[in-house]
Amino acid sequence: MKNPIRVLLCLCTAVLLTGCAARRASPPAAETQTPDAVEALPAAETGPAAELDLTGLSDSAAFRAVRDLLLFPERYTGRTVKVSGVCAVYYDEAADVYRYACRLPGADGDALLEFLPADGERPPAPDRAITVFGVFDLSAEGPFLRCALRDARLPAQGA
Amino acid sequence: MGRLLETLNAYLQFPFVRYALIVGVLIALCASLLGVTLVLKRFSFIGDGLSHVAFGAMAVASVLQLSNQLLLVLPLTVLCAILLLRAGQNARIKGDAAIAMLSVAALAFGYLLLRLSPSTSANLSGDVCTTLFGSASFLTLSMQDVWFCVFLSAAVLGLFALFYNKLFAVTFDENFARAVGTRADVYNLLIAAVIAVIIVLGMKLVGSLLISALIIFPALSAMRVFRSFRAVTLFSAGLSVVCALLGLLLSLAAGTPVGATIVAADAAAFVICWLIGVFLRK
Amino acid sequence: MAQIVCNNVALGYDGSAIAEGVTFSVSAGDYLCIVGENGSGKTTLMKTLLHLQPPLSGSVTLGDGLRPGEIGYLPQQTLVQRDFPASVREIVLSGFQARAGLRPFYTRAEKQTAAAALDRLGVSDLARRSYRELSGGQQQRVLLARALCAAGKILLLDEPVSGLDPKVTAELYQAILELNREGVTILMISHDVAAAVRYASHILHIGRQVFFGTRDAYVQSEIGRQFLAREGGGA
Repeated sequence: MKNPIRVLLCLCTAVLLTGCAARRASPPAAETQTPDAVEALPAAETGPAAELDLTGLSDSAAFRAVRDLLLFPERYTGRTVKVSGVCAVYYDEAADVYRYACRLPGADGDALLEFLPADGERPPAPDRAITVFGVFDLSAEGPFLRCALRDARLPAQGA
Repeated sequence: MGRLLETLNAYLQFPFVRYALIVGVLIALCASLLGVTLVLKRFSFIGDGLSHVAFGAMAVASVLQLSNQLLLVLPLTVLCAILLLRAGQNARIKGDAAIAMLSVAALAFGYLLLRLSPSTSANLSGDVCTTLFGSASFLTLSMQDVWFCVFLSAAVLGLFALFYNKLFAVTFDENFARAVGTRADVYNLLIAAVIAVIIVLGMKLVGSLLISALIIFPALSAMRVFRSFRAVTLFSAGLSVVCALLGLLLSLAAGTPVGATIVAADAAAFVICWLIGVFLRK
Repeated sequence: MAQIVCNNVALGYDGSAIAEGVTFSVSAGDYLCIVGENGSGKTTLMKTLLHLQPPLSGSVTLGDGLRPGEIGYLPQQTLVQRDFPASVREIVLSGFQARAGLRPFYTRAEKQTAAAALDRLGVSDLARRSYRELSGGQQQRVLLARALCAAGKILLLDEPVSGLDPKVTAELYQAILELNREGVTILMISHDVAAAVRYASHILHIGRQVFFGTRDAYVQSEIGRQFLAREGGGA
């Protein structure tokens, strides 16, 4: 037992075994529930799957992701994005239009990801929690490059 | 286990996560390889000392409003590294005092310069804090940053592989190496230059206060458990990569500062290795 | 055939000489012990012979095809080394480092020579062991093997038995003697004059006076007798 490599292998095996044991413990409970639940959920509730799902990240990581989207938009153009945060609305006087954004709070200030609601989507109320699906795109508006989620859909909140 | 992999996969979809992991792992790897030599040469504090010098150099670069700070910081840090490592050879007592003096003076001078200069940013304490402890800007790296880091790391790894035996000879017994004709001075200079480069790069990851941890912790952990130079080197490299990965992913998931989390992972690994070492000796 | 010839060498630092008028020569197969008081310049002489330091004056010539890097060296151990994580094999192989040039690996011939060197010193079974687990005597043998790998013809030993207990000391001296009998030239700095006088073929005494001659001549000389009496001659 003096060989350090053997000791380390034993440790790793122990860790792996406990991991597998934990996994084996949880599924049986879920399996009894899912068969009924799967039929009931309408497609709109879960929403379409997004390539970049920021809701699967921690709050701070989602914040960082939005910052990355805005700093290096060329990496993300054309990808579908799902993000959740707080709805922010402001009135753009120059263009005479309301702009909507999803706000994620961060330590040194908030990150705002603008979205353009798709035709037929009801614009949300400000300061409500929202989840937005859209395609990330760059568009030129005059001298500015606007990054936003276009064709944004907001699934109904609830359940 | 499955859920963990799913979550991991979700994170890996994002370029910024992938880049951070690549750069973090490469820096940790390079730092730990050189750490073995530095710890054995009793130069563990050089990481700390040089990072403070780099901080001072960065302050000067900001005040001068240089577009690319690296142009000033890298050469200055390399120069100080060479000076410090050479001083150490001739008079070991002078060596550690020199590091202490230089590092503290650079830190004070740098901060003073930043405070007094009218051209620096409004959020000075924030900037200083991120330089000392690493900033979350590590999580927004450009492709250029990543490629730069990849090339530099490849160079460091290549040099390490090429000169591994020489490094061992010069670390274990410099007197003997010199006596039989090895150009020990040249290799010491090489070590100094490379460690300076790694420190300047690593400051972006974990900040200047914590970069020494990346250098020394994996090596010290490895030495608790393994007894040959090759085993220590390999384990140190592997451990540092694992800790960097774990630390980065944990900081992403929990929102904790990147640098401190990685160092915490390294410290935890050290405790585990120390315990294994104690167990092995029984 | 003289391997090393020192002619009127003055040793010292920064212009001030510690010892002057050092003249001696070493031929193949000799066993030369360098003795003298502390601080008399013994280690400085060794560094000069290894071309680590230039002599203040005088000349050091190498003959018999010897080049500066071909002198095997056993330096005094530092504290760092006693605790160094390295296997015996790694340490002995590092003796080939200088001759390997930029080659990043060791050839099979070198590995075989290293194994043979370990065998000569009776420590082959320690090849995979960690250096820091060995006793003082074993560590010195490993370092001797390394010195042999660096150069097979001539060894410079700097106080090889310091810090070792009497039994181990005797064993190490025996091992060195055997190497000498196999044809390796030995130059040894020693504090232990009694041992020097017992094993050496020639003695070089450095101090206020410099003496060089055969062991017998030394024992009978004025300087030799005084030094032996002071340092406790006779085992």
